[in-house]
Amino acid sequence: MRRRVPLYITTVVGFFVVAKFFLNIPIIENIANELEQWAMVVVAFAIVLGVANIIRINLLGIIRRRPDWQYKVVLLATMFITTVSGLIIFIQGKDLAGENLFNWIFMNVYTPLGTTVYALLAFFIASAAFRAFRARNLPATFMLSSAVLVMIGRVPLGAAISSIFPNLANWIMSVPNTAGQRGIIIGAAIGVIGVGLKIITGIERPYLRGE
Amino acid sequence: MNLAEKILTLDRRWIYLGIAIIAIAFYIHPVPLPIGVSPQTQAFYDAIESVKPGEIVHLTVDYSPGGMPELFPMTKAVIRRLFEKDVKIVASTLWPEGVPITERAFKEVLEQLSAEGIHKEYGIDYVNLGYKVGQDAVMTRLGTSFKATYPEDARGTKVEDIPLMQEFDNFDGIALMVNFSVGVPGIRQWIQQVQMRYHVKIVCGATGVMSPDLYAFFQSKQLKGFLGGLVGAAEYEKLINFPGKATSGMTIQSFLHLFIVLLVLIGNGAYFFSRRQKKSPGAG
Repeated sequence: MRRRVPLYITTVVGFFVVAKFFLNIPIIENIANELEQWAMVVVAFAIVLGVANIIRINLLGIIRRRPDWQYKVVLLATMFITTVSGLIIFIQGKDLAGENLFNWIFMNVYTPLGTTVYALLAFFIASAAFRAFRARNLPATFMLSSAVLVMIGRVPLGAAISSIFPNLANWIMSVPNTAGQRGIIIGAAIGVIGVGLKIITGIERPYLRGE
Repeated sequence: MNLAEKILTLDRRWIYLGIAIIAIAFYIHPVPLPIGVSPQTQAFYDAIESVKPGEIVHLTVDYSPGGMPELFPMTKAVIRRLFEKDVKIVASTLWPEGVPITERAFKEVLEQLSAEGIHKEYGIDYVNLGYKVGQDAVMTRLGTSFKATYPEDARGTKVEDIPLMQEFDNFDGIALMVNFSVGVPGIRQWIQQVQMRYHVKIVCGATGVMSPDLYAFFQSKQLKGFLGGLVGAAEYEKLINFPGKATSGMTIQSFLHLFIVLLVLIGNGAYFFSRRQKKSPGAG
């Protein structure tokens, strides 16, 4: 029973959602729409579970004074403050972009932290490029040359030096890059179709931990 | 230790310092550089311009603050252009952080336009439906009914009480979708789930690292045009004749790219020199 019920649910849901795409039959479409609505509700519950899990794991870490427990206090405190401030403006129906605690936290704490972490990439990429980008063999030389041409050709400075750079950069992106990307996309799509069919027909059962 | 070896073992903090100096110097003193227009940006611009006044555009803001430096300038530029053209905007997001970002973008653009005498009203000219959990399921559900997927907007107003939401209910009423993506869920999922199934015209703005993925979709015309990173945003700002943060960021980005290219060339020069020395007889 524990194995069969999830298997039947997967097969039925998979059938209707895939059939909706190919068949224009109202009853199939209606059932698939209802199932998609259910999927959204189920995923919403997963968020509640996720939050409950974060609270449980971090509270235990604080109580047992595990390493770096101070960071767990910060995490729980900021999560609680942000959630409550967000709920207050939602309940009161205030302007979502107005002056309130939630927006203050979002614009003055979360946004600078997020953009700072992203901006750090520039430092790491430069350092990594200096150390790892070596023309050791022919393929590596091709990759290095393409990277240099695209980096120069995609910024206004490249066009200021010569119109050859943007044209070359555009050719590299439109021809060799696209050819490679297409191969990856088509290969991955065929793989997804295969895995999807195996899951729908019950050959592969990752949701049963491989049982 | 000779010069080549010294270069190869250079402390990475010198590189960090170089980047910081370039970024700060050109932030304080930007150098005007001629900005060109790539084919994908031109196609993006043409798609936006093809939308007629009164038609509805679905704006999907699928990014978090990490993507703001690249995507926020283009989000604002597009909202501004659509409002200038008297196009109506229905915004939604599949990223929880997308809600305040969307609101902020609308607010900043409306403040600019208000100073220029253009006034837009929430619920009539634009609406923010907010965040909905479910990723791909939300996308396909929108194809059937926006109202069923979003019974309320981001402000908690019932969609039956929003005049703009009475003008359409699925992608048949959408003239164009403009997506801003930083990852998953994002533009690839919108193309897979919505473009093919409902034949929606889609354009997008994406981060620089995502751009290489999009050329294949652009060539197959599944994507009508796209803005790739801050460069794409600057190109678009040029086309709409409204230079903003993306345009001013071009000097920094240009010289940082040049710096990285020089680092790569110097690193390779040192690598070959040191390898030749090791190979040559009698080299210590």
